[in-house]
Amino acid sequence: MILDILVIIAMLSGLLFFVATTVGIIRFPDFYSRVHAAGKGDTFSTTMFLGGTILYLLRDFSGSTLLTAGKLLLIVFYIFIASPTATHAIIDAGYEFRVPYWTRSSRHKGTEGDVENEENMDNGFYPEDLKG
Amino acid sequence: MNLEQFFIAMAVAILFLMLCNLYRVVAGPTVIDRMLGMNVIGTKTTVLIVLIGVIDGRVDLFIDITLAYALLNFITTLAAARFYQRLAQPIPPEPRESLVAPSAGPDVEEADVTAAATDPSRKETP
Repeated sequence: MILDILVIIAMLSGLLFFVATTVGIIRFPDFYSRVHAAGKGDTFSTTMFLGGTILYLLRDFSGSTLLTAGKLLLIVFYIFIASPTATHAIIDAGYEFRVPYWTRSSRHKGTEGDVENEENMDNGFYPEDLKG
Repeated sequence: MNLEQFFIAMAVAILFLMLCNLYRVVAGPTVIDRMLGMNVIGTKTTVLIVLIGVIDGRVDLFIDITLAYALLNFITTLAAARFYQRLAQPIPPEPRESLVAPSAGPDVEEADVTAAATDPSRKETP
């Protein structure tokens, strides 16, 4: 009974974090903040979901469920390492790809990273904006 | 307490939020945004497979599929990220063959060797 409530709490918090991740991915203005939303919330919500599943499996305790829970724990461990690594690789590629980033002034419409000709490339950095 | 209905509701909610993430994959302004959306969807698919296994009552069968899917998702994301990172690098200049040997003294100019090599009077007949 207590374990069931723990399962429900873990899964609902995982769902809450996944909702936050989705809202961040859809609503955030540029690529870098979207990666910020996805990298944290995705990892943590996956961990909470799988942790709730582990608690549910350990409700009827036997050898086979213990083995399955161990495998699930390995998956949790793997995702906790691999998902930030993948996010880091994505943001490294975006930085090298010169994805434009968001500035407060809306008069500059950022274009996509134009790698071929440098003068058309709009990386979103305008030194006159810094003067206020 | 029966948790079957709760797990089904969780799976449906995850599926709906994955569809919401699909908006970023379709309408993302850059290709890196699409990669990010696919990474999030793939990570959630592992959770979805585990939940399907729990609902089906055969988690020990689905757990290996989950592990393989997590590995594949990670490898795919890394490969695509490295590909686009390599694509954004500037093309290196063509290597130019030097006419002067590195062991030649400092008094040998490269222009002299070029003039000697292109001198028509010194052309040998094959």
